Amino acid sequence: MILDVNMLNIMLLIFVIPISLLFEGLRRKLMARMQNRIGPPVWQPVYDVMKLLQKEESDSKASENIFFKITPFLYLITTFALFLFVPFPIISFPFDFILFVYILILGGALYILSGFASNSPYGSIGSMRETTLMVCYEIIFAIVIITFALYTNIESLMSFNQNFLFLKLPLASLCLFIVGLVEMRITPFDTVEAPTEIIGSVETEYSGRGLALLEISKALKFTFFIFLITMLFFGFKGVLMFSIVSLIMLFIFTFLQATTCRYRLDQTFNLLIFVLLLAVIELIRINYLVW
Amino acid sequence: MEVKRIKLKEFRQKMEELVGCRLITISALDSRDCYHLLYHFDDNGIKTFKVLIPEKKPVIQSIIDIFPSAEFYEREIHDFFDIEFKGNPKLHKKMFLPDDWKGSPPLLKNKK
Amino acid sequence: MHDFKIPIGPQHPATDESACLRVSLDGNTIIDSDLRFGYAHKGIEKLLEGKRIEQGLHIVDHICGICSVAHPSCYVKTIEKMLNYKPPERVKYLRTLASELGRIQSHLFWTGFMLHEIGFETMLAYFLRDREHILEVLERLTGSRSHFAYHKIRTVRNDISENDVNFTLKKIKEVKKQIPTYMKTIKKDTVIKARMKDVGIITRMDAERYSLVGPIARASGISTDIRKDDPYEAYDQVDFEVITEWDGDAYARMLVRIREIIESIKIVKQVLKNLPKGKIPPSTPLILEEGLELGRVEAPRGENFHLIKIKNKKIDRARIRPPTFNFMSIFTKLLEGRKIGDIPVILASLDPCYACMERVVVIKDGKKEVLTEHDFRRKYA
Repeated sequence: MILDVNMLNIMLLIFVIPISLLFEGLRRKLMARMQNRIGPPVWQPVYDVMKLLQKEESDSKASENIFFKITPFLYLITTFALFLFVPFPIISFPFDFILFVYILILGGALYILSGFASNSPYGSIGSMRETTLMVCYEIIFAIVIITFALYTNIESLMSFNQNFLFLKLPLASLCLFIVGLVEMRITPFDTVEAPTEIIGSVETEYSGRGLALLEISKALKFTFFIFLITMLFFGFKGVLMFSIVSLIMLFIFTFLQATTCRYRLDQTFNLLIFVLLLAVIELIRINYLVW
Repeated sequence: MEVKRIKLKEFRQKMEELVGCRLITISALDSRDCYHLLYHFDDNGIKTFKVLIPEKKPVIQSIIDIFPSAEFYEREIHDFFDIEFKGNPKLHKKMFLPDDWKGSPPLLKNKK
Repeated sequence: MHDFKIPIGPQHPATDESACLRVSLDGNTIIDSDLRFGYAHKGIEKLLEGKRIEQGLHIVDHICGICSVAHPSCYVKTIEKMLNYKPPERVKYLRTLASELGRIQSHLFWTGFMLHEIGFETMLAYFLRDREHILEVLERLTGSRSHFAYHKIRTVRNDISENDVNFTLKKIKEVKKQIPTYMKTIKKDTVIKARMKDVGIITRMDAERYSLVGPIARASGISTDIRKDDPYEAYDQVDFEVITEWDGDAYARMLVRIREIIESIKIVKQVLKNLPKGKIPPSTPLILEEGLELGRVEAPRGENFHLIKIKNKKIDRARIRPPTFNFMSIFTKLLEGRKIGDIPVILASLDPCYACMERVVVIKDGKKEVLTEHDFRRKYA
């Protein structure tokens, strides 16, 4: 059954929130099975979010701050907007991948703001960690996206159709993979959300609707990076192949999370500087090849 | 259990002789009209030294400079028996009891 | 950047029990720290005053849920010293069995917990799975998984049957099968080594000055173990080694505990093989007028010390010094200059048992005294 591209894109946009919550549920279930446990049912994140939406927000000092109230909502909008470009783009115009990087950075900034606005030492530390790392990994992300765009000579993400690009751009793919790990909060790079060190990090003071929105955004970001990596590495356009490869990537990420532990902030930062170097090397290399 | 009694005057000198042994703990016992402070050391076997402190003036020198781990034993005994250890800087910071504790030291026996 | 203070605790995923650690930070680096207790007061030392000796044993049984063999074992040893009583061989062997099983399950739990602190949830799940085997054995032996109440004055509560011995050996084999995998992971994983090597180093000199005991001291090179220095129960008749490491960092402390699990398995096998035949004596009433005696045993965390004074057949004073009490003095020293990410590593590697440490209660003598900062909830990491 071949669906019209536009229908498919709109369907995806409508269902992206349940799909990403399902991915999150699959991740938790897989993780539990790897740990010799049973784990929650696959739709558990949906139940969690629906429960949180019905709960009252706790009245802390932070709720006097206007940013505390609106940043979860804005963050959800920016994370949702990422799906306009990937994997089946709805909007397309020349050099839209620059806007796309910008939206991701904007989302990161809103995340940091929500931590600082929450009047909690744990939120501040979480935001501080994210700031430290974001300075590094967003640059890497921008360089990698530009590398991919330059190599495939595309003007817009919609015209991206190279298969198995990770074989031709190995360093850039590795850099994108690691940046994805940091953004998706997967060990060994999940120091931003280390629950054993800073309890809830940025989300500590949120409850009720704010927390539900943050949880949905987290799941959206997780799913987004799986889709992005599937699209850029493998480039399948058919829905079936795309889904299968996405699930394989999900398995790989969960396996990585189950078998490693967490680096400290300074160790993560040093590693990201090294990854930045790799991204720059790859950019220079393909320039030499293309021209 | 063999306990060796040392007088309050010789206390400091005896503690300095024991440098190098491991301090196991300091116990406080509440007797008729005085406190018994027992210092337990591990020196190839347990050696216990007893010091008697009069109830009216419960002051003794701290051994925190020779045995740093004594700080917490002395603070605990101060919290619960109100014995003062001269030379322990954090003595008046309550460790187990809440900061605004107003009652009598908890482990003292009720003397009618 | 100006420094700010954050509380770690009293509720925090990193601390298994409630205690408040206040750290002053400058960015991500710790400048100063202060420990504050009082959240898990139970009133042991005051409760014990005026009780009969058997009642005292009931109370001592409930001091701690993890090291729940060490305290009654020490208490019973002290009372039997006062009575000048030597228990029969079978009783000694059974008590050794209980002590070693308690040690294995405590070390399994704390190693898993330690790895969870640095983000390795999978290892926690695996260690807890293996700990279940030991808890099943303990349930068959004593009837309960956590607070055993197994020791009695002059005897033990339950005897062990031939079926139980075979069951125990089977379960021990299951646990032993997994240990090499864990050792390999811990020795090879780069991230574990990056997080734990050279973190929280306690030099040998510091360990001696601060009178540290147990696995913490053994990881710094001091070979101290009450089971060898001052043998009790059946430890003089079994063959085992005292495990020492020389680095003194958190990594060494973890290695010490895992290797001690292997040694304890060895001891359990010897105990079950050479279990003397006979019956255990029944529990009889106790008459003891006066006495002042002390006793010490090797709990999973180190040297546990009891001093008991009996007067007019009742307990006049019970002084209990659990093994992790003196970790406080070195903990604040270890944290200076480290990053905040090291706090859970250092704290967990020192293996504190706050339930043991806070045995004294705030007595309400007629007045209502509201505790400031009271929160007795146990948070599991």
